[in-house]
Amino acid sequence: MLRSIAILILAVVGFVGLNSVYTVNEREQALIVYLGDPVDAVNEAGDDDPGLHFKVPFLTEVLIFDKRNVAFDMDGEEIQASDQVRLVVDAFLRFRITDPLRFYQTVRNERGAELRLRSIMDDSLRGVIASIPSQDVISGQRAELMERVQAAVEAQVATQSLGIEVIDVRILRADLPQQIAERVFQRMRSEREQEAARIRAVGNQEAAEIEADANRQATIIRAEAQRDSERLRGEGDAQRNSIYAAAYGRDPEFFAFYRSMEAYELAVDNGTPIIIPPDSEFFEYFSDQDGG
Amino acid sequence: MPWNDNTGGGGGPRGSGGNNGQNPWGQRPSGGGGGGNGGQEPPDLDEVVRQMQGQLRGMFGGGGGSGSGGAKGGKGGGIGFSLIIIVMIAIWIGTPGSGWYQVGPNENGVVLRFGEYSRTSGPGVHFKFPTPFEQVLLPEVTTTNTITIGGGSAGQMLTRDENIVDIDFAVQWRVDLSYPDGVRDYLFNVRDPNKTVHDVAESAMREVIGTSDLQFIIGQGRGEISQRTEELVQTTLNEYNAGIRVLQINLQTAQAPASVIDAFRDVDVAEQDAERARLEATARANQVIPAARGDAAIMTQAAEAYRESVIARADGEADRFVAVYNEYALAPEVTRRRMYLETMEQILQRSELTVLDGDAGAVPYLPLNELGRNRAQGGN
Repeated sequence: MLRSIAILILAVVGFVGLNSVYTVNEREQALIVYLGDPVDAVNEAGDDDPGLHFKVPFLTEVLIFDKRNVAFDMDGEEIQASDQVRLVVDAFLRFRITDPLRFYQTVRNERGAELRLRSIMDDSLRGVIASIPSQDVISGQRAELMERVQAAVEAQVATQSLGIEVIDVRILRADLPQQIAERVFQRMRSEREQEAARIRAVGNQEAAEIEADANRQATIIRAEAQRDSERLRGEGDAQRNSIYAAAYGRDPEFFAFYRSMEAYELAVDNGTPIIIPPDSEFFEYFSDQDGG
Repeated sequence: MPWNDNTGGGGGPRGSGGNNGQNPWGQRPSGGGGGGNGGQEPPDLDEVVRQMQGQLRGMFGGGGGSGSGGAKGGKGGGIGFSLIIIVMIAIWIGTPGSGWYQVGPNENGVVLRFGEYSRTSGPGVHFKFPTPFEQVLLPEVTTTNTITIGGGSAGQMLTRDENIVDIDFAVQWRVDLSYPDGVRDYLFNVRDPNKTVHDVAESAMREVIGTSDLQFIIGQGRGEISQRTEELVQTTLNEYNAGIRVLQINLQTAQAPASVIDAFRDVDVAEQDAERARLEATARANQVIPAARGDAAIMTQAAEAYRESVIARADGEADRFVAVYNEYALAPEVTRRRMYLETMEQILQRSELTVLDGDAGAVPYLPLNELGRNRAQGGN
């Protein structure tokens, strides 16, 4: 009986002993709630103290919160930019619980925090994007845009004192909605088609230029050859004339005779009928030996 | 692990759960040697006490010698009980991950004592205080992790010139061991490192694509885009103290979207068409000009031949005339007469000669047809 009492006491001491310790992991922070009243935060940011800790048994509740950098995703929201173009924006936020007490008091847990952050992110994204033309959202000043959204989110998180630190706000997608994307595709297509047509036209133009140039050169080459050959022929003719003139000029009268003789001989074929009167010069002695 | 399953709001790891009051290693080994016994019904206290009474009597009473009749049976039960306890302790310490642990060649062993970082060990077998006093984490520190991003509409990104481009890329990363606390940062600072890298990389890629033009992205800019994205991702992860090193970003696909790619390919085809048209025109030009040169050569050569031949002929004729003339000049009258007669002789010899007196009274009948016939016959 004594032993059983001793064992009972031992068990009770063990039970109480185990109930008066708790551990906090490197990744965690704890909020100590004593009789429903949060009294202390353990291993919170800036006061690293992981490991074994003691507490008042039974009356104390230890609430564990994550200490790490945690993601919160915002899925495709349609937001209007300042030029009335609607954009589909995906973003994510990285945060860390820095003040477990505030966190517990305002949102209780991560699910509560996400609800709050969703509306804050939504607000901030809409507010910032509404003041920027869509072109700048898509490209130009993305980094600056993200900084502005982060600043807006940080301001709201601070005023609502959520006990979290916003580490980063990043925009994933900032795209045109599907029906506008279809229009972009169409534009891309027609731009490419125009480009293809232009390239082909330029190709044909250059081909025509090359050919026309060749034809021009060919025509000029032929014309110049024609000119040169006419000159050569003229030279030949001129020289012939001067040769003739030099030779025949010695006795034009004899030339006339000589050339006539030659011409007669060439002009009269075999069997050509010729009628000659008997008193012609040829027949001078035909009927009169002394001559006509 | 019983020490980190408790997330916010659920109460402390030891704060509730009445059976934790029991000796934690008094449970079955399947309880993990720790406090993971929440589902079991709390045993009736009286019964436990009664059992323990008997067992303890066996353990301690054996030496003490109570001498009662019940002691014999109690002693036998005591041996069994202590054996069970010893076996349980052996199991508790001997279970892999409890009293000892093995670190694989690609791992580091990070030991937490009551959740607090204690030490890091390299590959091999190491001892530690058994769970729950110490706990070991075995991150794969030398393994290269690969995340592929893109594909389908997720990979469609807007460019600066408001075109859409299909992007597929792979991020290779591993735990950053370039500084001593890299593994600790990796384990303790960021939740879900893989998703973190994925999100940060996608955001960075979209940012880089959004500041580049389509032609640059699908053309010569690929290397630069990977490079800039990698820098951006690494900078962001460093800001998170994520303990992650990005090894490489591999831009696998960067092309026009499927629905417009035909139009893009047609531009390439058009370039080839244009080049072909130019080449064909050049080929024709290369024919036309030599042909013209050939024609020109024919023309000028012919003209040259004409000139030379005409001159030669004229020279010959002139020389002949001069020769004849020189003879003639010596005896003009005789030569002239002789030439005339010789010529006429030649001509009249081969012609149909008719001598007709022009003074005859009657108009002469001239049978020209017959003359012709004779001539034809004579020709044969």
